[in-house]
This record gives sequence, structure tokens and C-alpha cells, in this order.
Amino acid sequence: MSTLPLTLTGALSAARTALDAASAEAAVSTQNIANASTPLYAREQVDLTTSPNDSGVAISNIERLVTPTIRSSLLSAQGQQSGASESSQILSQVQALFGEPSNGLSTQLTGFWNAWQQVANSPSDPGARDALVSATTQLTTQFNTVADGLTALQQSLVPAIGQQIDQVNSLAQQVASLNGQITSGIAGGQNVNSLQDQRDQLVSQLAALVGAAPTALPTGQPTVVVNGQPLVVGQTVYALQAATTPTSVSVTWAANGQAVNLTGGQLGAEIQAVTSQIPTVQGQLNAVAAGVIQAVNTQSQAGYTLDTPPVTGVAFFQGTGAGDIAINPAIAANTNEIAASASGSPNDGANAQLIANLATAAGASGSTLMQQYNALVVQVGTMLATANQGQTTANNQVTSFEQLDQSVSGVSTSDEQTALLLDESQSQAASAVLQAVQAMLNGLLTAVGV
Amino acid sequence: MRVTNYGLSIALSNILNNDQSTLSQLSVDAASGSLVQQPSDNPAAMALMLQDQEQIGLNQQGQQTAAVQTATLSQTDTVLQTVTQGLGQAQTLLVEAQNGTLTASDLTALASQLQGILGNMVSLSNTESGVGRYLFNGTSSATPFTQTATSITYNGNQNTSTVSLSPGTEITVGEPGTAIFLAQTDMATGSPQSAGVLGLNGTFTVDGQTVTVTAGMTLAQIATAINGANAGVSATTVPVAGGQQELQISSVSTNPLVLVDGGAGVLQSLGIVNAMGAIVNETKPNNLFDALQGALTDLQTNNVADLANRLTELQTAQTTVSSIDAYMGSQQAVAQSTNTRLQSQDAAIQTAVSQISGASQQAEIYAEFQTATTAYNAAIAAAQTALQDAKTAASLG
Repeated sequence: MSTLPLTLTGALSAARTALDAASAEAAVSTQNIANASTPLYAREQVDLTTSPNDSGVAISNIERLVTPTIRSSLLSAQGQQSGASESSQILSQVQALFGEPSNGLSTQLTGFWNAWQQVANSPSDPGARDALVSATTQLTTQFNTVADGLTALQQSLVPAIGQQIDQVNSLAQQVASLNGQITSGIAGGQNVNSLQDQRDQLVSQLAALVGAAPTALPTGQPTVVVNGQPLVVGQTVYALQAATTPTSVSVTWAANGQAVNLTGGQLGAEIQAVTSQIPTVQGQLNAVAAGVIQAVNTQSQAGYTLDTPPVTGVAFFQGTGAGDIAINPAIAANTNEIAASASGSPNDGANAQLIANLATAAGASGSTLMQQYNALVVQVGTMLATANQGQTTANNQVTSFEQLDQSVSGVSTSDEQTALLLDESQSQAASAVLQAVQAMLNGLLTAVGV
Repeated sequence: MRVTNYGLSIALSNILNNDQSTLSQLSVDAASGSLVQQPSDNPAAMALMLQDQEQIGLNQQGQQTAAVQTATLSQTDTVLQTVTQGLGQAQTLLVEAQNGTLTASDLTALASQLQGILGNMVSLSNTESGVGRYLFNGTSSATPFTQTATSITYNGNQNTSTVSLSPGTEITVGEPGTAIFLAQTDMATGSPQSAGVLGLNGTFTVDGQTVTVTAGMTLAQIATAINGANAGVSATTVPVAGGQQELQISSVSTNPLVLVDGGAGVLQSLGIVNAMGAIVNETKPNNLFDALQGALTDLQTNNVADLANRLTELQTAQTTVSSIDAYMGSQQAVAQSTNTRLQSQDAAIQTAVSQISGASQQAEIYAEFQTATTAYNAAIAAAQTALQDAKTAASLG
């Protein structure tokens, strides 16, 4: 049992600390309720301790409730989610360019071979020859459209990457600046909770942009790393720089020019698309177009036109790849220039037949041109399916970590309302104490005749 | 675990988003009747679908070709049957003419009828199968046969017209006119010669066109030189025993061969003509047009005695036509059966595609749609309750 000299003035003083504590708790609860929906807001809690000598209650700290490892995992998962989402969007555009399975090159290619078969069947029929020119134009237009679309997509991503690198540097600078303020604030005994919230929000943007992950947050030397290399350490920023051409980009550390292999976040997805995925698709599409050009031209040049006298050595296509494949303008202008005959006889369609047979002829790779194209379509589909799957996984991860983070740092308005009720009753009780002590003091003074 | 309002709203919106996404996908599936609308939906299934789609495209082309060629071959069949009938009528006329009681004017009347049959035959031989295409001129675009007062000339080439219906299935859709109407031409065959350089020097004429032979030429080169003279003949070399070759010179029209040796006696050296200038080994014309023209001449000149030979020739010609008709009929059967085969193959592929794409799973799609709708409605109800509870708690507080 306490033997302290409890006095009425001591009681007054203690009641005042109780009122202060209740006010502080009410203020923190209000702050929490106000930020219940603020992303990455870490709820605050008033840490109370008993004042020495039973002199009431003391506020020892306004604590920011956060588990650094969970928050770091959440931000990393958000980076992955952002990257997977961006990758999925870009690859969706690539897939849409192909228009398969019903409105793409596979239909045009089949139509092209079939048109050659028609010419083989009716070599001197102008209708069959016109139909071949029409089918060819559709095929080459589709090749050109897909190739142009891929290039345009690449060209639209490159400047965006440049701007985002600038944004990363700016965000990193702000994080470094906050690091400074937080460090000095902590040293000066100030409440830096809101600064830390701001920093988490900035790092979250960095995570989404570049897959950056925070380490040692919220205490210690605050560091933000990209692919294992520091972007921000304390107040120091290691800036990135991007060197671009219309269709390519390379990112390096501004300080030493060393390459940065960005794979995470929105930027990672965009860089991967520009430097790897789109070029791969372009390469394979060009290979198919070049295969069509080479195979058809070789056979076309061996045949004879419908001219009088028949002419040999006429190429059917011009161009070298998907971007510039086009029908020989001489053929487009005069269908007699189609080398359907193997002998020079007008109704000999043997050469056209040999070209039509290319539809099912295996090339050097062991597969037909259509099979090569189909493999490309399936590859694009697989890339997108993988990105979509990655997005689903990242979404689930983000949801899981969000729930975990919320369980620690989130605001429960029910909790806060309950706390406010408690604060209110505590405040009322403290007020009652004050009134009682006041009454007692008044009684005492009256009794002693003051 | 603590549950917070924000956490609850994230969880609820995630559930609603996922449910909505499932519903959206299912409604697209249901509307399109396929579980695979784009490659990323199921890349492995798409690989099979694209392959099947290509096969269907090629098959349909094959079917179209087969249908067109069936029609052409059917036309050929009708023409050849008409030709056969005409030859039968011609034979009936000749049998009638052999009756010794007919007068010269009777024979003239028969000759007139025969002339009509011949004209009809020439017309049939020039039947068109399409724009710029004839049934009986090989792969040329020229009108197959032209008729003058004394001869009928073939203007087409010797190629057989073929088309491919599907890989490995090729059919003949047109024979050169010479196979039917000028089945055998006037042909001279030389004696066996060395395949090497012959050392002959000199000139000769073929149907009035001069051919020059030099010492360095082989028999094959001499044949090429004859063909190059554009004399209305076709020269070729035929291998015989002992690695030797014989020169064959054939007329490509009903005109007889006219071969005149120059001073150096090149043709004689080749065994084509004898010292008297006569063709040594001559295969006389014996074909449809020649037989009809010969019979006509016999009737016009009252040469009744020769009609028996003409009858034999006409019978031979009729046999040839019938045999070619039978062959073309077999090609028509191949076209028809290929068409049927490709159609059933298409049907099988389409069934496979619908299985791969899930188009055959409409019932399952609708069932899933129902389940997803129920889940979505339940999630909305749960969200409403949760939000209402939060609101109530707030108002109580």
C-alpha cells in the first residue's frame, strides 16, 4: 500500500495529467479516423506511462504502428503488380495487332496460297490473277500493319521510359530529403510519423515505377534499392539516366555510366518490351515475311509470264521483311506479269502450282511458313498469358500483404470510436475529480474561516 | 487478425472485382461460344486451332478446285461421248456407201452428210472450258484446231493439263488435242545412229523449210534444228538398242510429211529417206480427222473400194476416244472422291476445333455463369451488410 503524501493539490495535478492524456488520445484517434482511408497511413497510438510518485499519467510517445518487413514486402509486391500489369497491357496490344485467330495473317496467308492455287487451276483467267493480286495486297498490308504497329508501340514506349526515369530521380530526391528531415526530427525529439508516412507513399510510387524496395524502414539508414543496388541511401541519391533512340533505350547510373538492368515495376516491363519482347516478335515476323518473299520469288523467277513472248525471271514480291513486303508493282499494274507458267504456255499453271504447294512445304527450319507464323502467335499468346498469370499472382500477393499491413497499421474506426468513448469517460471522470477536489478545497477553506 | 475498415473495403472490392472479371470472361465465352478467343486465353489450344484453321482453309480450296474440275471433266465426258456418237454415225454412212447399188449422186449426198459430221467434230475439238481455255489444246491458249479445205492443223501443244486437289492428289484435267483427234500423225523414223557427233554436213527441207546440219552436230541437235525451223513438224530422238538413237519426224497437222534431201544426202545418211528420196519408214496418218477426211475424199471421188480401210480407221479412232473418255472419267471420280474426303475431313477438324476451343461446352459455360452470378450477388450483399454495420457502429459512436 502506498504511503505517499497525497494532497489535494497533488490530486489536482494528477487530474490535469489525466485530462491531458485523454485529450492526446482523442486527438490521435481523430487523426487515425481522418486517415482511415489514406493509403499507407500507419495508425498512431499514444503510449502512456504512470507518472512518478503517483502524480498522474505521462505521455511517453506517439507511436507509429508499422511492421517494417511487412510494409517492405507490400511495397515490393506492389512493384511486381505494377510491372505485371504494365507488361500485360503492352503484350495485350501486341496480341491485338496480330488479330488472331480470325482476323490475322493466318487467314491472309491461307487466302494467299489458295489464290495461287486458283491461278494454277486457271492460269490464263484474268479473274484468278486479279484475285491473287487482291489476296497478296491483303497479305502484304497485314504484314505491314502488324510491323508498323509493333514499331509504333516501341516508339510510344521509349519517350515514356525517359520521362519515368526523370520521375524516378525526382522521387528518389524527395525520399532522400525526407530521410534528412526524419533523421534530424528524431534527433530533436519531434514527431516524425507523418514524414514517415509521406516517405512510404513516395517509396510506393518508386516501387510501382521501378520495382524499388525499401530496406531498413522506418529506422536505421533508410535505403531504397533497385535490383539489389541502392537508389537512395540516407540523403544520397544515385540517379539513373536513359539513353534513347526512337526504338531503343538503355538505362545507366548517371554517376558512372554503368548499365542498370531494370526488370521490376512499370519501367522494367516497358524496358523489357522495348528491348526484348517487341524485337523478338519483330524478328520472327520478319523471318516469316522474308521466308514468304524468298520462297515465292525464287519460284516466281523460274516461271514464265503471260506476256507475248513469255518473260522469265520476274520476282513476285519486293522488300525484305514484314515492314516493307509489297507485291511487285509491275504485277499489280499488269496481272499478265504473274509467272504462273512453267513452260511459257499460257494455260500452263505448273509454276503457280509449285508456288501454291509452298503452303505445305517445310523450309530450312523444318516447318512450313504457316507453322512458323503460328508458332509466333502462340509465343505472343504465351508471353501475355504468363504476364496475366504474373499479374494475378502479384494481385493476390498485394492483397495478402495489404491485409497483413492493415492488421498492424490500419485504422479500425470501431477501435477508434471505442477509444474515444473511453477518452470521454476518462475526461469526465478527471473533470469530476477536479470538481470534487475544488469542492473539498472550498469546504476546507470555509471550515478554516478563510 | 485485426480487421480495419480500409482492409475490409480492399477485401470486398477485390472479391467484387474478381467476381466481375469472371462474369465478364464468361459472358464473352458464352457470346462467342468459345473458351479461346485470343492466343493468351490458352496458347496450347490456340496452336492447335491455328493449325486446324489452316488445314480447313486449304481443304476448302481443294474442295472448290475439285468441284470446278469435276464440272470440267464432266464437260469433257459429254464432248467425248458426242464425238463417239458422231464416229458411229460416220461408220453407218460408210457402211451404207459400201452398198454397191448407190449412184454417184447418192454418194455425193452421203459425202455432204459426212462433211457435216467432220465440221461438227472440229467444232467439238475446239470446245472451251472457260475464258481462254480449251478442253483439247494442252496448255496453250490458241484455238486448238483450224480447218482449211484440205487439212486440219493443231495449234495447241503437247502438254497435259493437271491440277493439284490436295497434297499428293493430282489429276489430269486436259489432254492435248493430238491425243484424241490427231492420235497418230504422219511420222518418219530413221535408222539407228550414234548418240555422239555424227560428222554430217549439208541441208534438207522439211515441209519447205530448210534445215542446215553441220559436222559437229549430234542427232539430238539435228532434232532441235528441225524443231527450230518451224516447219509444222515435231522432231525427237528415240533411244534404241546398243545406246543408239533414231530420229523421228512427225507432222503436227493432217498434212503429209514432205522431206527433201539436199545434195549431201543428210536425210539418207540418217535413214529417213532412201536413194530415191522416198521416206523409208513412214507411219501413215491414221486418226480421227484423217479417217474422216479420207472417207470424205473417197466418197467425193467414188472410191468405194477404199471405204473398208476408212471404216477400220474410224473404229480405231472410236476406240481411242472411248479409252480417253474412260480415263477422264476416272479422273472425274478422283475429283469427286477427293471433294467428299476433304469435306468429311473438314467436318472432323471443325469438331476437333470446337472441342479445343470449348465451343461444345455451352452448357458448362452457362452453369459457370450462373455460379459466378450467384457468387457476385452474395459478395454484393455481404459488402452491403459490412458497410451498413460500419455505418451503424459510426452512428452509435
